[in-house]
Amino acid sequence: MKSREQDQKFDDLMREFREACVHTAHREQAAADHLRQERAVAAMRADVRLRWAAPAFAALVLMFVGGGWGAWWYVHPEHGHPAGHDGAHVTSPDSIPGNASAVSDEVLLSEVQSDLSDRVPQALEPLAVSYTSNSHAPSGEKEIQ
Amino acid sequence: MTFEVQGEMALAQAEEKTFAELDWPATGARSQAASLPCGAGILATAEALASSQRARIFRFLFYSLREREVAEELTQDVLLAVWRARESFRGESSPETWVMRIAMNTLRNHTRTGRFKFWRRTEKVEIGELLTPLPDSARTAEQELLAQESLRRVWSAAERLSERQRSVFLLHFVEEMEAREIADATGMALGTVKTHLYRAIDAVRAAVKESL
Repeated sequence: MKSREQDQKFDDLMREFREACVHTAHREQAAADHLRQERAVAAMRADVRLRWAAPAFAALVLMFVGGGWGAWWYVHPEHGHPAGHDGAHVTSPDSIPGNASAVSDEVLLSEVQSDLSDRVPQALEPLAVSYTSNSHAPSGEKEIQ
Repeated sequence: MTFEVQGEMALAQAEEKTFAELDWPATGARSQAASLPCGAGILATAEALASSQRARIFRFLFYSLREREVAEELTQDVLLAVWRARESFRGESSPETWVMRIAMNTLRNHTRTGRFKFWRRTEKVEIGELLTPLPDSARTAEQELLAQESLRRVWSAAERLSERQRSVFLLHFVEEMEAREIADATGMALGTVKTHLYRAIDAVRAAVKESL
């Protein structure tokens, strides 16, 4: 009789155990779902931040590095003032003509022509000598004038 | 297809339904009922599968592993594995038993490979602390405490059982499976299941003897 009573109590206990297990698992599953959703949202936010912030940050870093390197290159004596290049004349106001448009075409043309007349005969002279010597030599001998 | 299924599973309600309560569609693009054995309605759609089995699988994995997040991840893995393998269900056992067998195999694989994945280990939950009896207005506060203490004793005794005995015990008392179904799900012989169950009940009874 007592044994049957104990069996009944054990059955009741196991039924209660099952109900508690089902209830607890349901609660834990909901908590796990909630946690997973929170993580997914956090991951999405981080992804969005990363998508915009990473290129912006990279561009900023590149800008600073490039600017720094450019400044170093300019300031450094070996790079900033290369041999034969005097940077001062570029920016000197004396080197800039006061009124460039005031020079007339005739003046410019005459300057160019005089410059050409100075250079062309010198450049063509050896060729002219060679031509006259070959064409007027009757016996193939060079006639040097 | 995989993404579609995962999405469907994620959207499926966690509410547990019995096999008979399910109202799965007999028609539709995703309906596979025609190609499945008779009585395999829970495998017809991803919604039916998830709504009927998700809570059950999670419960079994949660009490076996005592790790909430791992159990949740493995539950998704099991549902996906079941969905992918649904064509191979031959109807030799009930679909619920077949699903539980896949859950058992997933659990074994996880336990086997998890020994080496120390970086993925999470803290185990103290189930005894979580188990609380359902509220009963007929009980006094003292009776409530005694009931809670009894539940803790039961769980404490179940924790001391061997892995196989605990699995059999949980499948029988929590999932309400018969010895034959447990044998199908675990791959053990029926006699072995009965022996494990007998020893498990004996151990738990001895632990709660005072409160009976």
